Amino acid sequence: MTDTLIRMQDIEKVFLTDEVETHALSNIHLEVKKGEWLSIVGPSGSGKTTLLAILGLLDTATGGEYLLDQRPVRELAASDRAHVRNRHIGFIFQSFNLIGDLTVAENVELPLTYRGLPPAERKKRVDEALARVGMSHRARHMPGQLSGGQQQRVAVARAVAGDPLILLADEPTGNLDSKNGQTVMKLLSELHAAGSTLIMVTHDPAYARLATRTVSLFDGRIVEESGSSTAA
Amino acid sequence: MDALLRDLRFAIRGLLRTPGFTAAAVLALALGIGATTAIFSVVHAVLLRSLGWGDESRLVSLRTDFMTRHLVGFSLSVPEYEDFTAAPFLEAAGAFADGTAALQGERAERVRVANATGSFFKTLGVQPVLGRGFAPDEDFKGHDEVALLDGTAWRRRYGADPAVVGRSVTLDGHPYRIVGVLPDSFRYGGTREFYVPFGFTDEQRLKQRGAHYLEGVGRLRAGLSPEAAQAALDQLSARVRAAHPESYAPEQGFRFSTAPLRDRFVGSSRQPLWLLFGLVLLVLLIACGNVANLMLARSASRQREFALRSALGAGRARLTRQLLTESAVLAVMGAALGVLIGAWGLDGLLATAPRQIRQLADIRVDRAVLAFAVGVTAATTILSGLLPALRFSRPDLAGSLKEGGQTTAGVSAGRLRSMLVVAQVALSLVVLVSAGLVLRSFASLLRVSPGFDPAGATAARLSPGGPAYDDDDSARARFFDEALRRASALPGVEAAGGIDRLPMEGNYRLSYFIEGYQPPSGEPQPSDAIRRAMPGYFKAMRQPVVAGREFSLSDDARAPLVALVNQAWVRRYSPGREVLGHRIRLDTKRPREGEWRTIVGVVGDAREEGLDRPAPPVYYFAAAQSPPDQMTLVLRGAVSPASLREPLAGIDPTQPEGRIDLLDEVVANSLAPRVFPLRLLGAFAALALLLAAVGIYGVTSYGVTQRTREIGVRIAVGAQPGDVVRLVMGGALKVAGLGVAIGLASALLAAQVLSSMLYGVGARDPFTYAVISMVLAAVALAASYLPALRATRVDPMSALRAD
Ligand SMILES: Nc1ncnc2c1ncn2[C@@H]1O[C@H](COP(=O)(O)OP(=O)(O)OP(=O)(O)O)[C@@H](O)[C@H]1O
Ligand SMILES: [Mg+2]
Repeated sequence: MTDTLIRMQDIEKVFLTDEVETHALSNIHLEVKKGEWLSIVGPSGSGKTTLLAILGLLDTATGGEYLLDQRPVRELAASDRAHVRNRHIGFIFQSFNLIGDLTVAENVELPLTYRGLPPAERKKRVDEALARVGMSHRARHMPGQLSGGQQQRVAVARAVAGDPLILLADEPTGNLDSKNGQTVMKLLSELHAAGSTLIMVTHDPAYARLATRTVSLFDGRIVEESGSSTAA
Repeated sequence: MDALLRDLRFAIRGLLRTPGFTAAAVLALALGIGATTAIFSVVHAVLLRSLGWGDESRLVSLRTDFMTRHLVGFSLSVPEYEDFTAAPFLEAAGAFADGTAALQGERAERVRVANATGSFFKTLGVQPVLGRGFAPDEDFKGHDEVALLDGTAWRRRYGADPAVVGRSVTLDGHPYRIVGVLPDSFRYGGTREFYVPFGFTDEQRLKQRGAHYLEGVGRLRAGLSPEAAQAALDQLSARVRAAHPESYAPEQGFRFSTAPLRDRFVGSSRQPLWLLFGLVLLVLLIACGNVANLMLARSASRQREFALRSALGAGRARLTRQLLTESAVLAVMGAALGVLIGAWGLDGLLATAPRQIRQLADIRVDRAVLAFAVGVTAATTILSGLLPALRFSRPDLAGSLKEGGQTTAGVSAGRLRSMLVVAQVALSLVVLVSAGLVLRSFASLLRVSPGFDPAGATAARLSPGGPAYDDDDSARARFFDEALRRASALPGVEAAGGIDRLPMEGNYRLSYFIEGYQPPSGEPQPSDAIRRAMPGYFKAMRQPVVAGREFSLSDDARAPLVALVNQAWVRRYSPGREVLGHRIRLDTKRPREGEWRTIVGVVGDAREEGLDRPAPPVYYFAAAQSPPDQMTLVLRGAVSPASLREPLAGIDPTQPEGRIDLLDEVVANSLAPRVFPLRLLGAFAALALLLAAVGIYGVTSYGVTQRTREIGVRIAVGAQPGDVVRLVMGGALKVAGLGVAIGLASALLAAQVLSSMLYGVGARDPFTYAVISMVLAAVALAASYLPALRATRVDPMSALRAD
């Protein structure tokens, strides 16, 4: 039993548009252990979102091998990938992506519904997740009635409610002012402290430093790694 | 004006840029306006357009009522007609009777000929276009050998030759001199080729108060209030009753009555026509819903344009006008195409319409119909353009800022459009339920046994006329006998017989006495449908003889007089008692007709008045013992109508050929008035369903586009394709379900209007409502399937990339 959650070997992603090839990622080697907090930094267009999408099984690599929890993901059919996303991955988006006509609680419940959990179990987990992000009192509100920071906290609750192996966040503070950004980062720190594995894309060096390890991308390649890769 | 032109140019340019949208909207409108225009043409011609005879409110049918015999709106006898002509409350009164006659030519031909008094045309204000009308004395025997020629017949038969006046024609063996030609436009609920006087005799005028065969028409004196007219009518009735107590026994409940003349032509079609018109308006509304929906979708994608225009200082009125101009352009294009579709549809409609409807009036797309189409177009413009105009002429800038990525775009933008689809589904359900109920009625009618076997039998009509037959019972009897003998001898005939009137082709009732039967006090003598049958008729019809026997060849003129009755008669007059051997006799003083006849058999009931009416009591006389004017031979077996023609024509070459039908056609003809609305309703239902499906498709498809990001998020967090399909189709089903619920409530109310058109099924028939609801749900699922499929292909990356 090893505690390596993610192992990427020679991952490459090529986009083909109008017969123009864009090498969004090349030669990516990456390993993430359980409990790590990895931050991905790099200039705009360097491939951060693309890497996160492949990590989260939202997209597929065009080359290389990706083992998630020691299973190769290449062979997975679309519905299996959906299943893996649902069980093992929690997403936090830059633009929150709460569903406007579902209540806060229903938004958090969404992945659990797709998992087919019984209602009582769903309710328990939703309550717990909302409590963790401090949003229990807003469970019946609509997302439109919340501030940006509150919405992102609800989005975090949605990501953790299913108790995933790994949390993926693409610039979780990008749409927030600094005060709200700090609240969300504090939340992520708490999750990390409680044992969650996190991979986060960020532009902000200050936030990147909160992570146990930082990977810098440039032009689709990993140009620098810093921090300890053996953090607990 | 300049601004309007600019709006117009802009609208047309915009519409041309989105040809798919424009085509869909124009087509929806064209179908709606086309169907509405076609039905309106019929409604207008039959129910609304002036009859063309001056002040219609003063034109009335003149009728008699025998209240206790349940005869209301009965015809007049000659003395009764003359009572009316003398009544001061009428400015003019005339009489009319429809019929046919044998027209002698190279080959004898049966043509439609009506009897009319000279005053009939004067009452209606119809002037001959050539020659003269009938003079007053020409109404009477001895002066009556003159004829008026119908305008259409004048063209067709005489090539519009003006020299036709003065020429002679031979009708039923009598020569008539043509004295005038009537205008082309004249029709009296149908067309005839010739009009000839009645030739009233003194005998008829003085003695035949009981012979009702004239249709009376009168023009009320100008300025007469309805109350005064009614009072004058009551006075006349009282005076006539008092003067002729022998003809109007108190227990008959006799009185004169009048009714608006238009009722004579419209009768039972009024209600179905209004109903069809109402339903076609619903279809048009559904079409408007689609256009409004398309416009909303289009305007939504142009929200930026409107915001910009508004920022540049365009006022609300200005933007509203722009949007209304667009919907007006659409409506005008839809109307132009729609009127074409309507005119073309009307031709198809009339080709399949029963004679009863076609002959009511000259139905066409005329100026009034075009004016109606213009009105409909204006209404359509407003109905389909106003909603988008109200929604988007005030761009919600703050709202669109707020949607900048905080949450996925909610469905609220689509709520208005969804409500439109809800309305469309509700309206379609009303149309579909109406069609479904009428269809079910028709199906239950088809299951009704007519009481005889209509399949595999042929009916040949005989009506010998002219001096050789008119007043010679035995000559007619010989003619019928010979015809039956010749027809029976044809190869393939298994059974043959004859009757004066087939079931479902109208009744003729006569009063009669039943030996030992006393009508309950206050009621008159029985008066029921009489038929005269030849031997072999019931066998040929496969109408069972349940007791005794049917007529045989030995029941001839010299044999004891015999009669048959049907089971309904037994139930009515002799329940539980033996009827064979009992006697009946007609209430007449004519020597032989009025003698007692012995009932020798009971036959099964036939649906004499149509499949939808219960069998009435009928009594039958042996044709040889009471020769009728006309006879229909019924031949069971494989006989082609063509093979019948030759032997029948050979009996007397001066007699025209009668019509030969298959017996099923007789039943089919009786159903024709129901088939017509059924077909139309079917077409409306299909159209409504199609338009509703387009509406559901449109709103779902638009919804999927609007919610791409939301769907992406759902897929990102693990929604399976099945979940996405359920989400999209479930949404469509929810919209349809709400529409169905509202539609059910409306249809339950609306269907009450249908009640009188239904047979064997209630206006609230749960089966129909359930099936139609399921059909609509199925359509909603089918219409949302493609958008749902598209939704499953949404790239979850859209959740990451969106901003
Ligand atoms: N669907 C696509 N088709 C073609 N090229 C794409 C696609 N998605 C991304 N790319 C390209 O791949 C490269 C990496 O894009 P990516 O979104 O991963 O960058 P990023 O580092 O997240 O940038 P940002 O900081 O601006 O979010 C870019 O050059 C981009 O244009
Ligand atoms: Mg990015």
